Amino acid sequence: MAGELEALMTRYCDGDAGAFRTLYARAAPALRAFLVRLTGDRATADDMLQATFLKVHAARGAYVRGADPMPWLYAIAHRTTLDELRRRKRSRKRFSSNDDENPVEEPAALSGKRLAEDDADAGDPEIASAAIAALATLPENQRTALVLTKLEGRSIAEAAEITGSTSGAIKLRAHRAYVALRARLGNTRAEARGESPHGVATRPGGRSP
Amino acid sequence: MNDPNTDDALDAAARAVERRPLPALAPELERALAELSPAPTRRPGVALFRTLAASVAYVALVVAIIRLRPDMHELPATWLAAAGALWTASFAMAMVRAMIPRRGSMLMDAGRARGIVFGAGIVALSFGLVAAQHGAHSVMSHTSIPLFVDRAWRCIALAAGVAIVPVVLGTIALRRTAPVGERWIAAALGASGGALGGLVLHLHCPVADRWHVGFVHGGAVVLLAGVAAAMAGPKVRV
Repeated sequence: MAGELEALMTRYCDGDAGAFRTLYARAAPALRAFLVRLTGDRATADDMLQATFLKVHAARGAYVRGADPMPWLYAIAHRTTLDELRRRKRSRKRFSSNDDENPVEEPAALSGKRLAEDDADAGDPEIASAAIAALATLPENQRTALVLTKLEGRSIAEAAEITGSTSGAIKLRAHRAYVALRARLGNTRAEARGESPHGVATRPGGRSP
Repeated sequence: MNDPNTDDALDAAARAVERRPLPALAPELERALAELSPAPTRRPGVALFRTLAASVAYVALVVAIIRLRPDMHELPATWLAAAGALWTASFAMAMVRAMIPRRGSMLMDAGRARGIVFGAGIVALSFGLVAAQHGAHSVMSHTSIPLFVDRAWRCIALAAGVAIVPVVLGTIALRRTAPVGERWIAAALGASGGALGGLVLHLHCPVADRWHVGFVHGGAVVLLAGVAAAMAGPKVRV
């Protein structure tokens, strides 16, 4: 696929609009999946996908002929999304500090709630919802490392390139994210079985000791 | 470390979001595509060669204009050769790291750029602090703080005047190319320019005490890396 994307990107830079549409059709599904996993929200992911391709169009002169464009596309998508999420978080904080007595509900884009609810019709819906909700609770850099290496199938080196960090940092973040995810999913399963996260059974409506 | 339940959950999450049709292209993008014209693509090797060549030509002009240090002939030839080699290597390597992506990639490697910024900075600072040499006609500035500051200011101004050409040319070549790591890439450009400035200072400045050579001639690399990161970083970003 990389060779095909290179050819499409080259033709697009040469002025072929059809090549761009094909490139979009080939590259966008993976990018959108990445953005959904990163944001936990489909609407935000679709907005970020559009913003990503607008930036790609503006910066197409940066393409180096013969290079795989996919890591570059991922990097633009990642950075665009981070900027947007940070902007939303800042404006949310500003809004909250003006109105401390009426706390604002956390947007789904930052909490992953909306995606987890929407995924009720997906295959393995409970597991998928639990995993996505747990992913959304991880720190951003750990979540990105895990999503890129475990869900998107990118190599450690590619993930480092995409995030602008080092291979060592990506390995460490992905490991920490995996351990945290395992613990959270374990807690979720324990709660579903009616046990406390520490292995003690709880009564419905009752309190664990 | 792998846990089958966690792996199953990640697999389920991977499958859960890949089934919907793609959104249509934004109207703004459709308009841009309707009037799409060919765009020249980037050639990092050519851009690097042009930037290096223009920078070297500019430095040759500067060295021809400025007065060389009066104690030059009193300094050990090996020290001069080592200083010249270190500063020239730092200039060239930092420029290469800033401008050339890894083979098969189009993303500049921010990790490598960060490495060369730290490496060049440490080498430049420690060379002056550890291996400064002086002759009979050398000047010592560490006798008073005002004298040290005055000499430092002049040297930094000259180094910045030399560095501006490689940094500006490198920034033009790299503008809107880096989605991530743009500050480190710009810092590597600044370190490259600072190393070239430091080289000119070694040829021009007669102040030879270790504090001046270390913190000013070597510090130019660090200082200009920081300035470039702040000023050129946003220009380099996609």
